[in-house]
Amino acid sequence: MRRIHYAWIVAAVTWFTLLAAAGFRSTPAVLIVPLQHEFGWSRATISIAVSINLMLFGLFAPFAGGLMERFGVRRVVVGALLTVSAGSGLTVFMHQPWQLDLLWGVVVGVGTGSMATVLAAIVANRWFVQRRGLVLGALTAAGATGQLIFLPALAWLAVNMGWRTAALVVASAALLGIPLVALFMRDRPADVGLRAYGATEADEPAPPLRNPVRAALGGLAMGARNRNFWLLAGSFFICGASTNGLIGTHLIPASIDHGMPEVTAASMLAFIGIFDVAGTMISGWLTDRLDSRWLLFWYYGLRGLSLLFLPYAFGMQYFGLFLFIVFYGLDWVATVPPTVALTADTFGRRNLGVVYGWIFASHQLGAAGAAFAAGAVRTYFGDYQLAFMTSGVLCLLAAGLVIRINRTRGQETVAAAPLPAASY
Amino acid sequence: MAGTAGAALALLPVAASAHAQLVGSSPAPGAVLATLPATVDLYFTEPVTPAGRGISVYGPDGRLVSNGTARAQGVQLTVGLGAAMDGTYAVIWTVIAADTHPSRGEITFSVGHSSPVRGPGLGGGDVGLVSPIGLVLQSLGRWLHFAGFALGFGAATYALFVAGDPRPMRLAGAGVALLLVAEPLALFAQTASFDPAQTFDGDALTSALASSFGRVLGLRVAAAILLWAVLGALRQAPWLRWSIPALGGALALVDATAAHGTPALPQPLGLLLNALHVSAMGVWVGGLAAFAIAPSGGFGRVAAWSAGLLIVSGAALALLHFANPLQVMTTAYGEILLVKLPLVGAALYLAWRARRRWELAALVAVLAVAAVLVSLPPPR
Repeated sequence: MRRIHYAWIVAAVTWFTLLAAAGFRSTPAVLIVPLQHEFGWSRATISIAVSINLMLFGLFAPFAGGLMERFGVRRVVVGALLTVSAGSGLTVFMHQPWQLDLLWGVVVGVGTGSMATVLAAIVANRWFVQRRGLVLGALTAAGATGQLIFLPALAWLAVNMGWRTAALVVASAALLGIPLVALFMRDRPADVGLRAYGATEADEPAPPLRNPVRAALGGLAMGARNRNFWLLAGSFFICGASTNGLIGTHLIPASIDHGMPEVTAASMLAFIGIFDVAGTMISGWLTDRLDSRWLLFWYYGLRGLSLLFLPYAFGMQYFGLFLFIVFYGLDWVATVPPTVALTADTFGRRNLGVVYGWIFASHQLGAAGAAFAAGAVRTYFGDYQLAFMTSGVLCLLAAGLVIRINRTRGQETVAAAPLPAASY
Repeated sequence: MAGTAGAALALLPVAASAHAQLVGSSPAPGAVLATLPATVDLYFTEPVTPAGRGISVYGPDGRLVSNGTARAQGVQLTVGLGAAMDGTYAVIWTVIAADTHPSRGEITFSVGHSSPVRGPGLGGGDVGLVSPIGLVLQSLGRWLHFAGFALGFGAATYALFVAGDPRPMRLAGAGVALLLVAEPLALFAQTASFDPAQTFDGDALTSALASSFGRVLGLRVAAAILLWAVLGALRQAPWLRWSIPALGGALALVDATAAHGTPALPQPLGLLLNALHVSAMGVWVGGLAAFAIAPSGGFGRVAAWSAGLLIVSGAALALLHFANPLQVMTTAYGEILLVKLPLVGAALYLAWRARRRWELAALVAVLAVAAVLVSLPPPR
């Protein structure tokens, strides 16, 4: 029997890393109330730390891409785990709000940002030629699921054992991950004397070592000259605004506004998470076979229509909301595999890390902007109708943007084996 | 796509006719009371939602004496009063009907004795229950919307299904642009209809957007953006061309929910009749504009059919809106209809003589008059 290709081991390690990183990132959500009780800080004060955390999670992505190119994936991930562990562990000693901003906001934000979606994109593209979309889908789904599945356990810990226990558990989990990554993670197939899974020719040579900051800014400069970059970044901005920003943050309060118990509302979000896992895996599988632009066109189009339907769904109570959850949940982060594939198509795989990093930063900017704007709309209007309808219209706009992406490669890219998506 | 829009439409609460009108009040208009009542209650021809405060009551000294926003309960709108002064009180009401049409009005009543009316007032000159500038803006917005609808959906349908020639497709892009200009204009028309001074006021705009009007506006913008998305997708997927007439039909249905209802017909039938009227308009007008760019022999039959449908559905709608023939002469709605009919006749004559450019000019004029007509309250 043939030995298992080492690419699958790297994928598995990455999968656990992403799952954990997403869990670390979402931890502050369950700490808000305990911190409020112990220190008497206002929700607005604590939210500043969460906002910093969310912003850095996105804005650090291109620099993480540059760091991985310069120092290698293994070292960066080990460093990130150490950073998260330190940031989370040190919170036990804090007694001032600025310390929370620094630790949970800056330190954990940078640490989790270094392990997030850019890691998934780089691993899938370096190690896989066949099944690339499927692997990317699985890795992305881990990131989305990780934000949901640890929350109940962490909340239970925070309530029954105190928030310090929860913070220490996160710190130890990050420490435990370090040997796993150090032992099994490898930067490139060539490091273990292999080709990428399903590759018929040798991999692109490793790019010359570059200063990570210069690499990140160079990636932005390269992207900014290309029309496809703006189309991808624009549609991903809308993606972030309509998922994490709007629904992730505001579906629960909106449902409570419409007279639904909080637990039911929270379970709805959990169901979105479950449908999302299925949707993202299917999307990865489809990305290996179909034109990514068309996938995105349908994802954004259906998401837009389901958001436009949402104000009416609240009028129909459970049946309407169930319909919404199914349609909306299926493409929560299903947009990631096709977007990565299109980025790789346009800019080549060697530039993928930094360029996709910027596109993902645009995603997080959209998320942060929408989380704030929807809250403001709620405060001002007393209702979310405008926020839901605006995001619905924006998603339709994103459908129009992605379908206008030009598939011919930019001049900056080196000739490389065509991606499976391009062979359609 | 059209199916989803249709499902959403089925959920829209559309009832009654159009333009809520005041049919009764307590205190009655002009009444002289011994003491100030605790509330002012207004009764309308159909269910309403308050726009802004809904009811503003100004005391004899010109100060606002009503408490907060009026409460709506079906056709009744109520606000509490807090004052104790003899003299004449001015009651200004601003409401949105279920079909999104704005309307406003003013009545007075007195406590003890009458006195000069103070307070801001409506400035007079209201046409069709809204401010004059509001009516102008509403008409302009609807005109652009009709033109955008015709170019966006009608011209594209002609290019794809009749001429088989891609040249008129750029008209569809222009149609999307017109629609995207028309919708913000409609928003400002809504706020200006209540109070021109508050056209750009944040509270007035947010209140308009949070109402049923805001929902319809959102769906209209969505239809325009979706058309833009489909236009981009057509190059790679020609089969998607079917979605353009379907989307046009869906937008016509959305428009129908915001058009004058027909109380004499069951609601779905009235909606279909309205949507049919708007769709036929789009095919004729948009097809004609596209014909000027890429003439095709097939246009004559399409134009004849759509013009026929347009006239039959239009005649049915007109008849349904009048309770008796005299209203043609006695209402603003009737008078404008009398302007529209000869223009339609001229367009038909020019179509028969195949004077395409003049036919198009006549139809653009018909659209302008129709836009005014839809902005006015029908007699029934």
